[in-house]
This record gives sequence, C-alpha cells and structure tokens, in this order.
Amino acid sequence: MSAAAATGLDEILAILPHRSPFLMVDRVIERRQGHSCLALKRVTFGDPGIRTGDGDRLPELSPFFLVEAMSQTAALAAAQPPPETGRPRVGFLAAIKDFHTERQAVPGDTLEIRAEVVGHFGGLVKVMGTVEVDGERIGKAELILSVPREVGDV
Amino acid sequence: MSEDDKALALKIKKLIIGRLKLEIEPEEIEDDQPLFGEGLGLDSIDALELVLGLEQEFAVKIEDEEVGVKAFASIDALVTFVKEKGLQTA
Repeated sequence: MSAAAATGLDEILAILPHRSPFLMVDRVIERRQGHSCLALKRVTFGDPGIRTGDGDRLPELSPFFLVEAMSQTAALAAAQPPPETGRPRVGFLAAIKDFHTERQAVPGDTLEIRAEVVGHFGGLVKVMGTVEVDGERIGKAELILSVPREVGDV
Repeated sequence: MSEDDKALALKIKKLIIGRLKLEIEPEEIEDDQPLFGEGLGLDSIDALELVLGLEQEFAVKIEDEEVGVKAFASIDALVTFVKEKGLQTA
C-alpha cells in the first residue's frame, strides 16, 4: 500500500505485535507505507498508563504512554512489506529525542497521533511524532526506529 | 586546503555540532580526525542525523553505508564528498 488509506483493525493487528492492554492504536485514519501514519487512540480509565489520582491530582495518562503511542504509530508508518512469510518488519525503538509534553492526556481524550518519516540510513529510520487532542498539540518527539532493510525497500 | 575548502570544512563542523547538539567548538574538531568510534565518538544514530543534515544543507545524498563509511571518515573526507556530489546551498 503506497497511497494514503485507512487501515483496518486486522491490518493493525497484522503489523504491530502489541496487544491489549499495551496496543496504543485504536484506529488508523490514514497510512502511507514508508512515509506517514495518522492514528487515533481513546484514553480510558482502564488504560494501564493511567496514574490514579493521589490527593488533589486527577487521573492522567503517564507521558511514557504518549511516547508508546507515537512509537507504535511510527512503526505503522515505517513498516516494510512482509517477507515471503511472516509479520511485516516494524523493527524496534532505538532512541527517543526531544520529547516534550504540553499537558497530560486524561480519560475521555481522543489522541490524534501523527508520525512522519523524515529519512533513513543504515537500517535506522527517523520519525517525527506528534499527539493532538481537539486540535491542540499536547506532545511531540523525534523517534529513531531500527528497521531491518532489504533490497527493494521503499 | 584552499580557503574555500576551509570555509566548507567550518560549515560542516558547525552542521555536525548543531545537528548533534555537541558541546564543543568547531576548532576542537581536527580535519583529519575520525568522526566515529575512537575519533569524535559518533554512533549510528548520529550518522542518520548527519545524513539528513547533509542532504538538507548541501543537497548531497549518502545512499548507503558503503558510501557513508568513506564520506564520514573525517572532515577532510566530507569536504571532498560534498565538493564532488553536492550543490552548496548553505
């Protein structure tokens, strides 16, 4: 798939090895293989990353899970077609750079997670990730993925 | 090294320092010093950042690791590579 297209749940599950409760992508709105991905994630009280309130603090999503959501969306953007058999090559998260959050996500938020592939070299792929809620950016990070490449990769 | 080469070497050193957020001055990078491993101590993630930086700043593309190994041997090697392959836009 090279053109922008919605990705069904079956395809998400075929590409990402993550499973509930650590699958941080509910829906893919648009995906250009090797280039970009826009995904949604609804935050709920049941998410494993929810830090329950103590004292006056309300429950909120740990920022580590924002990174995880961006990383999984980055993997969907950067994933390469499967070899003859088996799962597509999504690689591993090799580095996180310049991670910032503007505010924490809370139950009820729908995260709009964008991942744009900036470039690649030597099996490493640089991806810019952002998370928005209701049009407001709440987090961003530069992610480096290690994705095994083969001749003919896009 | 000609004056033009020295100016290009300085631009490349500033690019390396800026893209990799190194806390050193350009003068601290020797022109014949290896950039990776024992030299400046850069790693594969730094290489990715430099490849993208060189493409953006000098319009040169390092296609694969074989080319990268030669181009990233030193500042001198990078100057030669950019002169041969690039359009100096910076």
